[in-house]
Amino acid sequence: MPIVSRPSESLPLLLKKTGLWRASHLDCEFNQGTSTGYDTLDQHLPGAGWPTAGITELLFDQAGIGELRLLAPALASLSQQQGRWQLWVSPPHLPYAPALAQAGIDLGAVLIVRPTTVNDSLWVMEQALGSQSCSAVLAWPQNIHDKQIRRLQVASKAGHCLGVLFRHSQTAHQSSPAELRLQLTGQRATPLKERSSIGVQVLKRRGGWSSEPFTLDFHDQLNQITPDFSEMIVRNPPPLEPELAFIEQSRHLFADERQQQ
Amino acid sequence: MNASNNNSTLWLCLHFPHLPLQVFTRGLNPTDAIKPMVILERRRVIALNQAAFDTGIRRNNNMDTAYSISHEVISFDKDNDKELMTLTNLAQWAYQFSPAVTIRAPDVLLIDIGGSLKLFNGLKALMARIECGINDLGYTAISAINATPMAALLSARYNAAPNSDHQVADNTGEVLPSIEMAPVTCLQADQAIINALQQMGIYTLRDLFKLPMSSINRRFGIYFTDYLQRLIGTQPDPQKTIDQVPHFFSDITFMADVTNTNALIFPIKRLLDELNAFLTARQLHINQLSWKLSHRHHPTKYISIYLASPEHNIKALLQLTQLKLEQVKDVQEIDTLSLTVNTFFPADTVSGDLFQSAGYQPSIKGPSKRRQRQASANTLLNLLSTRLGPDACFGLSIADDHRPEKSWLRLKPNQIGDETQYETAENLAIQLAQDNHRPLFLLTPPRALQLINDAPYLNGKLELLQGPERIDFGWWDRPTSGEIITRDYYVAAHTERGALYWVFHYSNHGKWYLHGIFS
Repeated sequence: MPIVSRPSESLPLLLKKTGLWRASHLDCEFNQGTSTGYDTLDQHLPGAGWPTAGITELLFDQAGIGELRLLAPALASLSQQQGRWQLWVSPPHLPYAPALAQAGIDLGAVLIVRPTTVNDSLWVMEQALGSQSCSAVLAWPQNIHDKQIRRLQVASKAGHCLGVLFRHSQTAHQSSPAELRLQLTGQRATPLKERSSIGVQVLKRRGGWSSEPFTLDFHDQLNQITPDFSEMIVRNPPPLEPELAFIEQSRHLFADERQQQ
Repeated sequence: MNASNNNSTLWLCLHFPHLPLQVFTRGLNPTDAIKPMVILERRRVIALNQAAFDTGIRRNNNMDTAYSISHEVISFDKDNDKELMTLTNLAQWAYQFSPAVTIRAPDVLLIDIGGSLKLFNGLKALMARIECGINDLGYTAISAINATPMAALLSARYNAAPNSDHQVADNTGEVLPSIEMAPVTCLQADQAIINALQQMGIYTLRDLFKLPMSSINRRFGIYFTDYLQRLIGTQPDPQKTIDQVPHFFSDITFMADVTNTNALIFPIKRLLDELNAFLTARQLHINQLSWKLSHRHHPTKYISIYLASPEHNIKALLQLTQLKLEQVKDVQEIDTLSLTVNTFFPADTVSGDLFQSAGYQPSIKGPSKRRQRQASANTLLNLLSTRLGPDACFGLSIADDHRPEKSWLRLKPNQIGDETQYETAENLAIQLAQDNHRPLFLLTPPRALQLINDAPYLNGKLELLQGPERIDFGWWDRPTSGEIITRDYYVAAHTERGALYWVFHYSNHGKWYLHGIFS
């Protein structure tokens, strides 16, 4: 008699083993991630957050759509929880310290490295990812092959380090061994909204298919539009009421006294 | 140190009979060491290795004779300075065993090991350690132990004679090798005195000690009796011990010119081991070391290695040296390799993590956080700055200034994590960043923007969302011009792609600049 157990019994057993999942369900159990700080995004990511180890690719066309703001809450919590470096390898511009501090990132953890050659930057990334003394390594590589990403992936697993590569969205069709790939698109938020937003599509994730594109709102007021008051300036103000004029005068007097003191 | 009356003193004499030869040969691979080699002084052979001896060359041979016996022979002129320097280095090395080390040029070290016996588990263990260490450094020494410095020296000379074997004393110090049987020729005295003694029929020290001291005094003078009294310990014999000058220099000369940097790894390891012993003995850390690769016909090449903070980790230093060596491109021949360290720091007495091997600790909180980070991450920093150069890495801090360009500071790697650099957490720049929007990326310097229809343009039309925020640009910093420079900053959005920028224009003219990106 062939040994075939009934599917209804064996399936749950199999699913309990790690490494097996239903493609239709996003399994959030097997690896707890670092929360992104955005609930909408957390729901789409395995482990409900950025992978704690492994390479994450953020693909976008144009800088300024919020690719770094998306990462900032996680960087902030990592820098405060773990006494480890956050290495910025050849950022395209200067990371601005007051803004980083405002975002909650501990500046004592930030280390910026500017290698001059491509080989040097790959070497820096691999060393840093594998060193166990970094909690995150951010890099903006120009050209990077899947074999190189594979090496970085292995190093980052060994070093328990979040590795983030900012790449151009043209590379979306290339295969990549990265743990997680997100396609980011700029969103022109409606003028009525205060918060700025970004379009996200998960291209690759552990334990799930790629997602539909969705919109994510940042916790800021960058889209708040300063009303244009220039047309509301009153050209000839009417004379003040006598009582108000007295208050106005005495205010000047107090101001003078304070200055003399 | 006057310790000759103290029963616990025990003097070790290390005699380096082959020093003139070994200052040249110690860096060699075993394959090179089998070539015949002689040391010449005034064109006469004064020292030779076994290979040279096997070819038939003897001491005192003329240089021409030596060359006619073997045309392969390699010769060096005796280098007294180098010998003294080597002996000084050896004394510094021996400092790890005892604080009382005396140099007696040209080839003897005297060490008071009486106080070190307990620490090193007895005399046998200590001697094994010293002899092993000297062998590792590439030297051979004849050792002898006795109760006074002069007696130890005499025993060493006596031991140097081929048919004697020195007794090892127990650490009670009772059974010391007797010097009574030693011949008078071993005495450190004028040749005339020794000749006179021998003519008197006195051949051994036992014969000499039978004579009354006063008559020896009358016959040979006060200096000789003083020497004898120091020899047997009836007179104190204070020794001038080496100064504790933290300076490290050591070098290795190669027999054949080295052209391949890989061949340098073995001698580099040897020099680093020496440095390791030096640092361990003194509880010192270093933050820089410099290698010198030189050749008699080529300009000298220096390789300096700087560490982020003082430490003592020979493995890491070896790794860093190898990294640096890989970068040295135009390697010519090298005939001497030397290592110099001049700056030392007292070792930090922070205890290491007992469970370091268990990997990183996910959450380190409290005041020790920065310190812990510093300790764990220095290795990475050292690695990066060695390969990429000291300027490639930097950290960030905040300056107390409202102007965007001046409100951040560039920190050197060794300043990162230094608490004093982060004192101004409640400062103006942070306040401003809280009340106003500041971009995560700043362009240095600001980039001029195109204008289309008097509106700023950057790969598309920009729409001004917020602003203006007026920032005064410091008339106080340029008092002469008197010009008032103020900028009006706006948050601008790319109308199609939604990217957000930080742009400004000067209040007195209409040019627009891009200063930051809300990445």
